[in-house]
Amino acid sequence: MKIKNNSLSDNVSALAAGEVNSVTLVTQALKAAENLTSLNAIVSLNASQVLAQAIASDRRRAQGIQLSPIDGIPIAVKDNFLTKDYPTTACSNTQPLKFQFQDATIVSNLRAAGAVIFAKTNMHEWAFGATNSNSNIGPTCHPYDNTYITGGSSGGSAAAVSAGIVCAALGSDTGGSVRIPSSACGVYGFKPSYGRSSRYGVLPLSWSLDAPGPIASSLQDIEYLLPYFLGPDDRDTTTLNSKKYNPKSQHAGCKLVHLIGPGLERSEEIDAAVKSFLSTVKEVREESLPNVGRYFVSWETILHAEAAAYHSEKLNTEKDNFSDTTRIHLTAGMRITAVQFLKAQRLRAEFCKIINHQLGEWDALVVPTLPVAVPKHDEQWQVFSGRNVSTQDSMTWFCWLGNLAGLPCVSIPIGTSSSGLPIGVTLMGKPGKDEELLALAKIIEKSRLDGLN
Amino acid sequence: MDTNSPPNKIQRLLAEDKQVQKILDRIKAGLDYPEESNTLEPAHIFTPEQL
Repeated sequence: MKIKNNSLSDNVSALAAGEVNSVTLVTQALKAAENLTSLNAIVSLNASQVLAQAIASDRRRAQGIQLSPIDGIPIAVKDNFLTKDYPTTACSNTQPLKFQFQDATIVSNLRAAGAVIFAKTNMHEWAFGATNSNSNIGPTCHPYDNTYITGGSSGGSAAAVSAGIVCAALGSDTGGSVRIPSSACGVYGFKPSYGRSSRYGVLPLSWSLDAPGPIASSLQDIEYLLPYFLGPDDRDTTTLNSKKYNPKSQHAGCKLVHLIGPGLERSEEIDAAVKSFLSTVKEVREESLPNVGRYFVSWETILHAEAAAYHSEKLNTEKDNFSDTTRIHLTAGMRITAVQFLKAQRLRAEFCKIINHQLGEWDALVVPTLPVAVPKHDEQWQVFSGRNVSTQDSMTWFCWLGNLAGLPCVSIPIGTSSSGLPIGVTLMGKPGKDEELLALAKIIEKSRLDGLN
Repeated sequence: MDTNSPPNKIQRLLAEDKQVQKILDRIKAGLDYPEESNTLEPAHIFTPEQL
């Protein structure tokens, strides 16, 4: 499939220059969505509703009123963000939510900026999985080749951006759900620090791990979107100390810690791609992490227990409406003891200390986003570095690190595998230093692309 | 096949229970480690500001 480049920055410039209007952008997006139904990226889309938003944006512009640079830009939304004009299903057959048809804070911020809330996107059921294969409307297919998965759980959002249906989309990330599909689909995904982006109106998977973030086709496009994600929100108390987005034009250093060693293995092909990427960075230190398996279990325990707590009522009243896989995981979560949950929290604190120590005066940690090339739909297991890992576990192999420690993370495309599908790398910055991480990523990418030209 | 007919439902529930147990076994093995009870360091549980 030929991938059409759809850049938010270019669309912003074209709108500002009067070369295009919102109705044209939305019409193009509607046509692309219609032509690309084989991806199964879209859950709900109301053309007349979307065109009405575009017409309103064009009228404003004609009157000299522009709500923001993104006024009139169509943006897709993962189906676990509440939206006032679309149902929110989390791609599950569980009973409809009683409190839907209102906007999540981030959707509300984008709407206030004039963005066109274009469509809801396919996701792994209740975000409890990282392949996007388990959804009540069926799996999402990869835009490069439909026989491959997109990764998840924000797979529909990443596929929609990668295929050029929209130039930007929203995702949520509990163990990589923004970064995994972004990496697999060859686009950029940003997971803010825990507590910097409001979770209000985003159906939770795990309260203390979830972070909503943007997916787009460049770092510059991510930069356009972050102001609508970062900042305090009275309706999410974890964000009360969150600072509003404050762009950093420069980044002082460019020192990366490459995490390697037991528990952080990757295939030879991925390792070679990461090493090639790092060869353009002046200062790189290699470090291993102790007890990776134990800290992974800490993340897994917290994830299962918090998800089960959120869904406990549904498990009593309609457990057969969940898919088998989701029900199994939620049932396991219900059987985790309070003692186990507290042990996991204790390990989490220990892990945060180790991560902060590893970072020290250095600027970011770096890992491949995925340890293997993008899998096909029918591959249940991945074999790499002498390990036999389920495809599900291989998707979150590195990404959970950023969620357990609450770090800001960005996944950047760095090349393609022998199968021709994208490979991505993840940079993880210091907690709360989201702007610094983005500035660092831009510097590294510029130097890498300059080196390639 | 009707997975809700009584014999099939029992089979399905047993199979699911095995999967649940597998997840719980992995969690138990990861969380149970001997040195934990020997540490003098007080447990740090996240403060409301941190969570």
